[in-house]
Amino acid sequence: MVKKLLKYEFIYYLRTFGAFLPIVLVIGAVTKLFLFLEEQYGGKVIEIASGSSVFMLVVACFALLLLPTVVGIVRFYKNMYSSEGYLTFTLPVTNAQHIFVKLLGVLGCYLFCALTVIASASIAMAGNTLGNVIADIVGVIKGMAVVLGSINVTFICIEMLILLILSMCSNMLLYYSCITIGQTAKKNRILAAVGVYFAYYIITQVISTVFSIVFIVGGTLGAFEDIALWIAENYIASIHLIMCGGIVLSCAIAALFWLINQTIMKKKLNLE
Amino acid sequence: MNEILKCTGLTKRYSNVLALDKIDLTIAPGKIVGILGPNGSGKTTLIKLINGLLTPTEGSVLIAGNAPGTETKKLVSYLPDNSFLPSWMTAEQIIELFCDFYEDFRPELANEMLNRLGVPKEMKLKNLSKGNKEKVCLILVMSRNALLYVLDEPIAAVDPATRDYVISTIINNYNPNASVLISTHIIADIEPVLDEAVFINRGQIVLHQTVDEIREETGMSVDARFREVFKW
Repeated sequence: MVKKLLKYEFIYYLRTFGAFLPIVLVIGAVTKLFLFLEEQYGGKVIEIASGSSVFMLVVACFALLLLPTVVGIVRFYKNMYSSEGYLTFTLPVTNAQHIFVKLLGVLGCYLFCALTVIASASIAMAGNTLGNVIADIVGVIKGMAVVLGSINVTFICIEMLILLILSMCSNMLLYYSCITIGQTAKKNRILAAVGVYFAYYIITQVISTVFSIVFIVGGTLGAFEDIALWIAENYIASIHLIMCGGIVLSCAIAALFWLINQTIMKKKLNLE
Repeated sequence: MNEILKCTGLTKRYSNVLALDKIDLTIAPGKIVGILGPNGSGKTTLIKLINGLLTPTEGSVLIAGNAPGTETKKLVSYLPDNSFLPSWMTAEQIIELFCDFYEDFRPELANEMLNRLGVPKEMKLKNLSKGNKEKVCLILVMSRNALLYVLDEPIAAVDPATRDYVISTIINNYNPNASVLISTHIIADIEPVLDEAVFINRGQIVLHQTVDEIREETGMSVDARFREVFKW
């Protein structure tokens, strides 16, 4: 059933913003053309044109990276809680499978969009510039491997990737939870969902501010000297610890939002 | 199996409003049952509970012995009272979707009915007329070989000619071992096909009899009996 659900997720995403992917690639190619002309012939007009195309490429890439989140939120709301919900919730599929597939769909879109952005940027920088960028990235990794050891660098990269995926998941689950809580309202459900998001934002800001104050005051009073010393002596372990802590925290947050979605879908479903 | 649907002490409360109040209802196989009541009587709440779209405050619903869930969704074919299909899809794509998710779906029957009615299958639903959209919804729901069909106001918003078509689609396409629950307040049109009538008012069942019993006992049609029971 997950495969079948996923098929319809991708059909939706493909028809919603599939056309943007080749457009961004074309912008990359146009940018490269103008940069080439500027390099070969120069001139004010070509300079302005290449500047504009670089600006357009940057904007298009940012838009493309933002699009999966926006489309994912709209898809979730329409598919689950608008009139389409009457079909969605009467398919022989569990709520957990629905949420899982929605997440997987968005992650898949992020991947496609990220690959398109990389491809488009590579086209725009093709030649010496791309070679220099790749050489710089390889240089940074090699430098890190000298300081931290190649095994540690590999693990840190893996941890970063896991953390990135989990953060994306917990963020999407947060948006889903806001929509799910919002749909329990009798009217103005979208407004209610936005309200829930702001309430969450304020609560997290208050908590992080309290932690910062404790940390700063504690630091001033010398309460964390032992910890600082331990970090200085074991900085590699500290990096792993921070990464793993982030992973655990993201898992916990994702699990909390997953549970909120599941419980409300089961007990407080309120379709229009 | 003696009963396809069994509701026991079924109660649903929305904050201060009691939508259903300790309903007991049993539906045997092979019956077409009208759930009849004025607006706000609790018909749609009952139907949503049967489909697992709401959770009972008290009591239970059993479909073929199971509480609403993934298993019962394989057995129940549900037509909501609004357009529930994704408007960005074509009828062809939705037939594929139903084939993917419902093992009992009969695509050849759905295609035949759509062809007979001249509904363009390659057109997106959002571009179809309201009447055609409703036909697509009904055809898809009735093209399943389900155990229980639950139709919420299937004839409320269609013209009399389409109404006749809807009713003939229902009686010609349901599995004889299955039951059909039809919620409506347009009784006269649906009366000829009903086996049983359930009158529901303010969340309570005020009458549950066969159509023949109603006619024999009162000498009235179901429509006339309804008007008498719900007279202001």
